[in-house]
Amino acid sequence: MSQSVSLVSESSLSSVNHVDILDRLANISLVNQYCSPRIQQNIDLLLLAVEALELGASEKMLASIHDLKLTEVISGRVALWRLRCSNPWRRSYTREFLSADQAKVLVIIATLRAKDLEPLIRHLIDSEYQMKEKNLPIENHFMLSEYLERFRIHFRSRMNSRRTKVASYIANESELNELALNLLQKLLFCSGTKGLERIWFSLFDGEI
Amino acid sequence: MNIIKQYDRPNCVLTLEGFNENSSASQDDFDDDFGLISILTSAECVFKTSNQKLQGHRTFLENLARVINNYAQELLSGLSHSQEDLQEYPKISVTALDEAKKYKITVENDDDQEVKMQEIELRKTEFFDLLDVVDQFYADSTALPDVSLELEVVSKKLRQSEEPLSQRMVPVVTGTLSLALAAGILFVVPNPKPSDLEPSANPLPVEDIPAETVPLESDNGNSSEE
Repeated sequence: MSQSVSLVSESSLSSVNHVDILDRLANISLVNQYCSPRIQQNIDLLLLAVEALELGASEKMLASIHDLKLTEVISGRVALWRLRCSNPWRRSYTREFLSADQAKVLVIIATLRAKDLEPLIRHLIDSEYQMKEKNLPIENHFMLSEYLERFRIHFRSRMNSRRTKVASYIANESELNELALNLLQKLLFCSGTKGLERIWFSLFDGEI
Repeated sequence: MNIIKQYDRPNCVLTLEGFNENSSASQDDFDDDFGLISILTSAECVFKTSNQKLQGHRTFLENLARVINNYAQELLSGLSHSQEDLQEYPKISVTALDEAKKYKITVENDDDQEVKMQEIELRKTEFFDLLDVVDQFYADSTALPDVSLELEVVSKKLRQSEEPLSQRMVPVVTGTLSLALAAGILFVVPNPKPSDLEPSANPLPVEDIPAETVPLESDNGNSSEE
């Protein structure tokens, strides 16, 4: 006799208490209990890619923070902006360090948005593959081109061009496109069943 | 009683077949262990869109899950995760093809098996779906509960500089070359000749003649004697 059990795992973050959400992510021992600038930079770039994917993304991020009752960690728009400015590439770099909880909340927001945007992300990644298979420039694909253009605009307007790496990205459009596509792949991985845990651990690779 | 579990994603379906070693015919179907697979008889991974599949038994599933997990973390962080040599067959490896447009998964079976090698090529979304069905399997406590996901962080010592070695060597090589060039040029430049104004090495001896002293002629002395 055979019995079939079909499982579709759907982790809904919105139904759990905010303390539980933060506890889902392991407390990785950090020097001075603060994140390194490299971690802050990676988190901000992920959020930047989310903003390039959808219009009004920052409003949705704030709504997610309210829905998950995480306002104790990030109180509002200005607090979110200040935390994102902990990215050393930013023009308005605040030279602040993210605490573990603040970093967790930012990663949770990125993951939530990635889950909502998964169909679009999948479509863009498949389109990139098809364009490369046909040896066509990816800019010829309307939706991909729109995403890449928005990402480039956000990057150029917010990052400090006096930094060597930023200047190199700004000078080389294809390099900036590669960064955008790489972030798109990361967002796809974030949207998976264990995406939150995976992206959280990956941030600390080479940091401890 | 055979139990079949399916983990489904748009491109990939993982099907596990097995049974619970502790269940008996008299047990109620709705007990705590309902649907538990503790002994796996087969695992099959089918990619619907590209008509490819991988199959094996428990070791295959464990090795596949571990390798896919490590490779996914490597893609996320960009740092190499230890692809430790799997001790038991089938040995599984993942490699990127065509500038990471595709990923090739190779399953090397034992010599005793009919099929020695299985190879499939996956697009990014197919690879992601494979990762997700593996994660669904890890998250399911009723399928091989003794197998669990272990995420690890790569040590700082294994982190390579973001700047490639060739670029980091540029200042060293430039410095050494310019020093060697300067030394070569200075070697060709002739040594300066001694100037004529300098004092001779063998100076002539100077005679030391004492000066002749002449007594003073004075009338004052005689007058005082008077």
